[in-house]
Amino acid sequence: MDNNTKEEFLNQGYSRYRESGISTEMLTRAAETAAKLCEQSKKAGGSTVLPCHFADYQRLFLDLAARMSHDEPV
Amino acid sequence: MMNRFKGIEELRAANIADPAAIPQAVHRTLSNLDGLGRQLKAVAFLARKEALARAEELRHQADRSSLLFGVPLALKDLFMRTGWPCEGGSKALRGYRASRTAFAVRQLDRAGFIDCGRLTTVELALGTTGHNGYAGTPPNPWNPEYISGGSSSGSGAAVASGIIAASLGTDTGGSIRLPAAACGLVGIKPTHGLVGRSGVIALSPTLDTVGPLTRSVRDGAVVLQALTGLDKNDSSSVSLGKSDFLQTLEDGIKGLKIGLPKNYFFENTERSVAEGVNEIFHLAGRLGATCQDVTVPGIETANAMTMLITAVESGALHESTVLERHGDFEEQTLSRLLVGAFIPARDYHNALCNRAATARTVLEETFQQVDAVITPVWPYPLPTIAASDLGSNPEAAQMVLQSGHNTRPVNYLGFPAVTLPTGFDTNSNPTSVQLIGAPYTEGKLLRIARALEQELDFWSATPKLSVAPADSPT
Repeated sequence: MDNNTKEEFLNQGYSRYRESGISTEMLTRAAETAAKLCEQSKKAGGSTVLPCHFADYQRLFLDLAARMSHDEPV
Repeated sequence: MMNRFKGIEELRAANIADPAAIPQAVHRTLSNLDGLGRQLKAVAFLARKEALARAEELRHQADRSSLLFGVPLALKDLFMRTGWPCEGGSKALRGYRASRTAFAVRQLDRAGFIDCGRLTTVELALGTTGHNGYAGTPPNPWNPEYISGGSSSGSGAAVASGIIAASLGTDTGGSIRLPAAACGLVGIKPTHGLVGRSGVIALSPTLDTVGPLTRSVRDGAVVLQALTGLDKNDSSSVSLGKSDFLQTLEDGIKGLKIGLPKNYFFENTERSVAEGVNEIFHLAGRLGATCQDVTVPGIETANAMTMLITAVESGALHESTVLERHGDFEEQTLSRLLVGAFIPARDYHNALCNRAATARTVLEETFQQVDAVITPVWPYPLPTIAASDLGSNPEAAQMVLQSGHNTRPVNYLGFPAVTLPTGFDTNSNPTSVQLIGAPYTEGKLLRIARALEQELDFWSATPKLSVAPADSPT
């Protein structure tokens, strides 16, 4: 991908909102907040992102619910 | 005798004994909502005609066995009912009428409740202090200079002022627990999937939950019982079969284990708040629970993960409205809705994929040792409405951000939590604790809360509100 296309993609979100009339200042603040959140969440590690991890959460809770419904009420 | 501050059991018993009186009782509730409720800026929509029609219907109904028979309630303005307004506290959704009825509302209908309308919410549920320049900022019924918390702000104010026995709120990062704690209420954030969410204006489909705010643990358990069931339109929904949250409610806490976390939850916590939680921890020990220190591993990044997921999903959900009508949003809401547009997909995906590993680790390392973890809710004494208004007080940003420190991680885990009022601080505002449990152990959490509630007797006093003309003694 050439640099112009890359920049186009990066700015796509920004341009869409600018064209609708939202101020540059507000968008810049939003981008800064986003960067901070991404930085804070990276500390969790998890660099290996496998497709199964996404479904794992729902499967975990379905298993727990199934187990609970067979036990005595708590 | 005041016609406010009646609990579900008392209201239901009166309805069963004398169904002919149901319409009159509903009329009083509607009058209180229209009077005191509007004074408190808690009411978004009053369904007078519909509620009275339903009251007449129930009056002639032979079967009076349902859990909430004839009990008048009002719900957060995110819960849709076909044909009713549902504006999510936003000018951008002004005039919107629902085309479907929320699963949770249908469950309460089956339980025989009378739907009196909708209560104020922070715009699109995006905020923890209760501020809403368009729909109104409900003051705390205990202390009107102070916040009622959010985003289920109207629900907190209406239940704490005794107008209704219960309300439904939503909780994505603390929006049931924070107003419940602020207003001296029991708030239940259920386990991921326990209560169906279809027909609720969403904030974050990954994290949103639906639950009750009540004045008593028993009332919370009753409403939760009525809510559970399989929601076929919510892919996260589960059914626990014959779960009964009331069965073990009065069993006491001997033999149960409660953990005080040594990491994360007391960071940057005001000393009086931490001391208050410690007192309740030791009270639990005196009541027979085994109390011990615990660690909650991997929780440090959960707060940021919750905010990241919420930012992406709320931004995506409301993108077209933002592009078309951004001028109709509150500035704070718009700022929050824009953040998601700048978060790379890989970070969002990473946050989702880490969820299972984090949940498993906490289950295996914390909840193998204890039945519940006790934490603060608000990490500091409740702020005033003025001090926490970001519009006029931008320096409050860090304080407002910190408000969800103890609540957001629980949403990331998807585990259940119950908040319980414990007393009052030096500003005469309610204090609270949060009890966090393993998935689908709401029954245990409610049992612990009930044992503590009996000792604390928080609702032996009521807020000293000025009485609106409709609130006449019966």
